[in-house]
Amino acid sequence: MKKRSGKQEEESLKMGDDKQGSSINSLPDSILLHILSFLETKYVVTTCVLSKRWKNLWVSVPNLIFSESKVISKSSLRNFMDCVDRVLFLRDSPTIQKFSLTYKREWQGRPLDSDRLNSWLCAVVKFHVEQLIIDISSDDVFPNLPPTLFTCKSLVESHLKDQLCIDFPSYVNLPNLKTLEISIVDPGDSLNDGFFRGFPEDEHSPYVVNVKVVIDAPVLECLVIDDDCGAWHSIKNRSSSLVRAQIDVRLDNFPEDMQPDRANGVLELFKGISNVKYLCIDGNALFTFCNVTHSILSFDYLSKLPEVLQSLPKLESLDVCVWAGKNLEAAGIDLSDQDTRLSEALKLMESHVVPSCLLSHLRVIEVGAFVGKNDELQLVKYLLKNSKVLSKMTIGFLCDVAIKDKKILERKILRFPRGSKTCNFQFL
Amino acid sequence: MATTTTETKMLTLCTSDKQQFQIEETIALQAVTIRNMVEDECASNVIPLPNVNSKIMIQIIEYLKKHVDSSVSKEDMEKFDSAFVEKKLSEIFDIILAANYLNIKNLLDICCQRVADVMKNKSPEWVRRTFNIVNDFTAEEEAKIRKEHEWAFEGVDED
Repeated sequence: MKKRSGKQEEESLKMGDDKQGSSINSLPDSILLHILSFLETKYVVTTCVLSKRWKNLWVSVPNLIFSESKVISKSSLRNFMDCVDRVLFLRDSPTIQKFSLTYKREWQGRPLDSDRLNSWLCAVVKFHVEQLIIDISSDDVFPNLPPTLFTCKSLVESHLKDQLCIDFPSYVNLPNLKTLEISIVDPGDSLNDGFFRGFPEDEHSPYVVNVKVVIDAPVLECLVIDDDCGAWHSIKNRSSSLVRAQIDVRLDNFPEDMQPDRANGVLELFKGISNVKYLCIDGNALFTFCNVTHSILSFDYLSKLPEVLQSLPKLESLDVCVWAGKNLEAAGIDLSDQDTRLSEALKLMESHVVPSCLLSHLRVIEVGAFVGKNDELQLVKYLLKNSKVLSKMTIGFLCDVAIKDKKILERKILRFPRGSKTCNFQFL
Repeated sequence: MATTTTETKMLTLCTSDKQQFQIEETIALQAVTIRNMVEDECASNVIPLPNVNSKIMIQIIEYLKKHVDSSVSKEDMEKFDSAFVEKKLSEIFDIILAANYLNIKNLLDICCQRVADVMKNKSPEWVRRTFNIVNDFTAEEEAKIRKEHEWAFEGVDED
């Protein structure tokens, strides 16, 4: 902040040389509160000393924003939590428009007290919160979120980021929810560090609360699920309001024998969002469909792709992130002997009925991480041939593809027969 | 790109200092207050805006003209917005009052955001100086309030 002092003077001059204009004092309370709603709540509280008019304004600020990223000491964590407690306790307004809590601790930092988080969430539900953003360090486990949160009628937007193992109840009913973002991160090595002591010792499921969650969200418009743990969510969206979905689910950190089961869960998720218009699926999620053993992964991947498309009949944009060599290797796949299987897979694909979205809806296809391997070319060929209304095909090459090779591949792709007369190409 | 498919209907806005502004209806209707007036059929051609002066109206029209243009990309619109609010605070307050009266939500938001950015992490003394807020507490009263809220004061920049 120090370096701003020149600008600060400038700011004050701006006020000084134009006394006849309006000042902040001429604004009504409702606008002052609107201004304060853009600021972190802890700072908003300090405006109480400005003047008598400001003394009790902060208690009704519509948005509550708490953020801490570098708490290490016990006392500063306590101060942070006390601040949230006090603001909620002293609040003098029937509603909260937005409650945003960000707590990114460093690894040696202390976790939030889950009982207190619980009580804050209980409180904000009582204040009819509309927008809820909880973004907490990934190592922190909160096993007991208040049940009222999952039936909160006022909630319009909910972002639960970087959560590990949110213990959703099996039925979630959020009648006014329009935006839902859930991200559940890969527990990684922390598995071995005893972070999961709080969970029932289910031998099959050390880190995922093994419950099937039905999220009933009749007016949902935007869904983002980023799930490294293969949690089992299914979405009920009767009125087909869903416009946009972004799905990234990984199952490869599960024991192999559990993957088919989890993959079924993900398939349920896809069925629930079949009315979506804009969909972004990460390659990992596609991998989810190849739910059998590693040895036939690639085969399954290609033969199942039409099925994925089939289950999304109104799809207009598909962001396919093809499993390129790097990822396949990571999954333990040897690319060297794929070609024979791929020709089989291709035959199978061509004997399948062409998915209806290719015939009537799919306009934009983006293929990412393209290296030009035969399987990828065949996939592109299939999509180009069968997409009847395609207007744009984007091929994103992996950065280590040589320019010379790119040119050759581009020419090859441009010669593929096209089902759509109006398709533009973009090569990145 | 404004289309010319339908004949452009014009509205006349009359500001507090009796200046008249002729603008396309589609531009003016972004202001919910004007839309309501037109819909509720205050049918006369001239719409009186007694709470807005011409100096502010010119700036608001500049904003509305940009925002009615659907061909402007999101990034360009954000660039326009951030350049638009680079004004003297007194002018920002005038625009806030006008945007509030005319009910133009995004304009109100970007201007309030601008004021919030100026206040951000500044000490109460600095905020009082910059915004001409008169401290009407006695020294004892202020000390008492500070004490009651000392949990919020740590970490605020002294400048």
